[in-house]
Amino acid sequence: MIAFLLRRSAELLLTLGVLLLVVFAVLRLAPGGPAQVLLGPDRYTPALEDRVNHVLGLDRSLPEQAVRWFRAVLEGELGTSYFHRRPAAQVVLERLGATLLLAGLAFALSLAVGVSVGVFAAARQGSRLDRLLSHGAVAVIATPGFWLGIGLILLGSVWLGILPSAGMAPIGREGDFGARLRYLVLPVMTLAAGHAASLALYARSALTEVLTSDFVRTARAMGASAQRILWRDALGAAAVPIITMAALNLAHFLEGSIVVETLFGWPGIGQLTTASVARRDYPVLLVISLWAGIVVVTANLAADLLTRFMDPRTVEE
Amino acid sequence: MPASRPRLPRLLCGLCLALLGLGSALSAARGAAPPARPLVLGSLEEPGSLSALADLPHHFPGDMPQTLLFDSLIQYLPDGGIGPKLAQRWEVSAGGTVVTFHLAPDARFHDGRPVTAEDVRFTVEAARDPATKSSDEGFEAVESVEAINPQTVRVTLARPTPRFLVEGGSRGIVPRHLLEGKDLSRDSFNRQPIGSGPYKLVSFTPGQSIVFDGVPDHYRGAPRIARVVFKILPDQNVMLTQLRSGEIQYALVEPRDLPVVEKIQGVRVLEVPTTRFYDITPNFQRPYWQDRRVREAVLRALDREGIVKRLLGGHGHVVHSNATPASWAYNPDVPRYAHDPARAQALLAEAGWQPGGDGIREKAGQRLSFAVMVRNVDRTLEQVLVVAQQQLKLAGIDMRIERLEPGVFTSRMRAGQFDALSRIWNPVYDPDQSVLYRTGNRYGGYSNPEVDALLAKGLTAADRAQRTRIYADIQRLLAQDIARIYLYAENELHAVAADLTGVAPHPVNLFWNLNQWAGER
Repeated sequence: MIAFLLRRSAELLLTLGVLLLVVFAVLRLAPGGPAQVLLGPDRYTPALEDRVNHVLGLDRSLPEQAVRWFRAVLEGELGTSYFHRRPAAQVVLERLGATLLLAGLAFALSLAVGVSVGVFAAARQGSRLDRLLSHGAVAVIATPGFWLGIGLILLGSVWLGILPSAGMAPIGREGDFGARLRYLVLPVMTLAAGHAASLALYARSALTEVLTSDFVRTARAMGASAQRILWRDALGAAAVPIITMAALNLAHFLEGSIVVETLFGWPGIGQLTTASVARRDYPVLLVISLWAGIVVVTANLAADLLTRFMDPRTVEE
Repeated sequence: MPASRPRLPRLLCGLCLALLGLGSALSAARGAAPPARPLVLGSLEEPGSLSALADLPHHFPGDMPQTLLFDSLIQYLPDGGIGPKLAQRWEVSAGGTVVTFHLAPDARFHDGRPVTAEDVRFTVEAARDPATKSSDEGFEAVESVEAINPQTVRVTLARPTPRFLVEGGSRGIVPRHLLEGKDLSRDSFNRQPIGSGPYKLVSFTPGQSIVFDGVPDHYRGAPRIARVVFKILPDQNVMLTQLRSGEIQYALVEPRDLPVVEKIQGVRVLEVPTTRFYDITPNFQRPYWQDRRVREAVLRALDREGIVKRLLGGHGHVVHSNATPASWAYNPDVPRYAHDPARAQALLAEAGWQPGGDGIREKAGQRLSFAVMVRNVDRTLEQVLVVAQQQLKLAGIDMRIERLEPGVFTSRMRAGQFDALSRIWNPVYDPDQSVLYRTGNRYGGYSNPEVDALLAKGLTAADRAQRTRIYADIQRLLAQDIARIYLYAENELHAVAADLTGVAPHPVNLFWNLNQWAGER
């Protein structure tokens, strides 16, 4: 087990290193630079740009910039945001809470709704309701997040007028939990929908397979109740692939939060990402990449460990 | 099994309703006693650093927080003149290289410490130090700063320049006692600044809002609105929705928003002419641009009045040279080239360009065809160019539009790799545009020794009257030479709550006198 953890940790570090190198290169390949953004559209002159590039160290060669940045990262220094003029890690950190709240709730909701719908459909396999749910899930998966979000804004904010369309809290009442809750409804639903649907389909197929296996037939023959078989025995047996799927989905939550946060003006890391790309704020983008890399790699590791714990047969030795 | 059938959907519906209900109930209970209504300003831009060292206040609404938090030495007035702020008065030496400022004795930072000559010296030096990663705009010509006594500061310039007083004088002054010895490129001050402006910072919630409270004992008088909130919104539609619901009392709007905005009760639209204008800059390296007749033909072929009327909805005007009526240096009396397609045709024929097979004129086997590059973020300009393209085609000129990512646009502009480019120019604080028109410039390479001499003179002339004459001459010469295909200037449209009084248009910064705004709140 310890050897396994060590090996996976080494892989994790290597993955992160490669990821950052790629992100660093891709950012610099994109045309434009921070100088034009910092100077704004209407007072750009080459002389001003030269000064900004010099001040930010962007007039050095790319390999030199990369080496300097990686060396600083190893020393625990993640750089200074060009735009915010504060440590990049701090800028990202203050947005972390908002994203964790949104993604956490969406993850929990998608897990609860997805698995429930999956189990519900699997138990009625072949019925009209099953077909309706399955087709519905496919339709939701096929709907892009921004489109669904706009639809929900139309419904909830424009037509019904009961939910706020953007922001995280009413001005001046940021500490008011009840008021904030209303701001969560639309973005959480938008972010959760696609994952809930894919999880539902996945849970349905995993359960369908389990429900035809010998032990289920034996359990039925022995008189176990349908509820017990479905929710305890069958779901227990199908849990491993579902958990793996959910963990792998985490990466998509990060990706989805970029769209959802931008759409709903949710002040989290997703919104910061879009804004920082437009501003060419390289240090902030690198910190976000580092953070996203750690989350994805750790989630995969956690899924592995959980699978091993729940199903000892997956241990290779 | 049948027992579980209705459970799930009902459970989900119940959960959603409960969440909603709980939210509304809680917010109703908490929101029972709201504080006095603040003035809420909507913005699509979030300011990065709030420190005055980051930037010269140029763009708004993004720069509004800085205007509220930091006072500068002088006040740039709506008519382009300057008035007192931290400096009660100032003297400029005969040669124009020494400027002495006398500070208001009762000016204080928000922590109670007085604003002194040392703070001014520290601000200038910090802005010029590359290690602080600050903008040195306005201070480029400064040679040294001396604190004569706590209330008197003397700035020596390497060369006389009228830009120092307006631009350098408009930079916010930062407190030395809080910043000396710190890494200003990343200090927490950039997020929680202490200035000497009429408002002090209460809170800054990234991506959401910035809250300011008035300083009651401010040396320029207490602001009339006690609390101002700067609200960051994700897009223009949300902004309009919030304007309609009364959640915000200010928004910068576009001509296409006007039909919606004008229907909102309790909101009026303030139309402000600006110093910004657009042109098509020819690259004089191309032989066809060197012929003045071709440049005039392009101007004559364009119906610029029609473009302003239809594409800008009349919220702007045609420009004929490099200044707009919002500038104090504006000269209305320059050669104008009205829309005249027949004259355009005649000029081209005279220059030897004959109609070719596809309607595009040709000369010695070369088609009269050029590409104009435009940044893909300038939406209105792009529409204007599409209309211009059609009008030029009628005259037998083929103009191709190249939409480029801003970075690519800039690198090609720097390398001189373009036939023509179209973009915004904004001589905000001062009419000087030497960098654009001087011989050897990297913006198309226009050259005229007479203009060179005037540009140099304009920077050393001491008084406004003399400068006005110089810039009037420059504008006349540029229009005569057709140095650019000048297009149009846009007005700014500000939607403000009708009950707000004291809002006064300003070519650079609408929030310049926010401390004098008042309203029923």
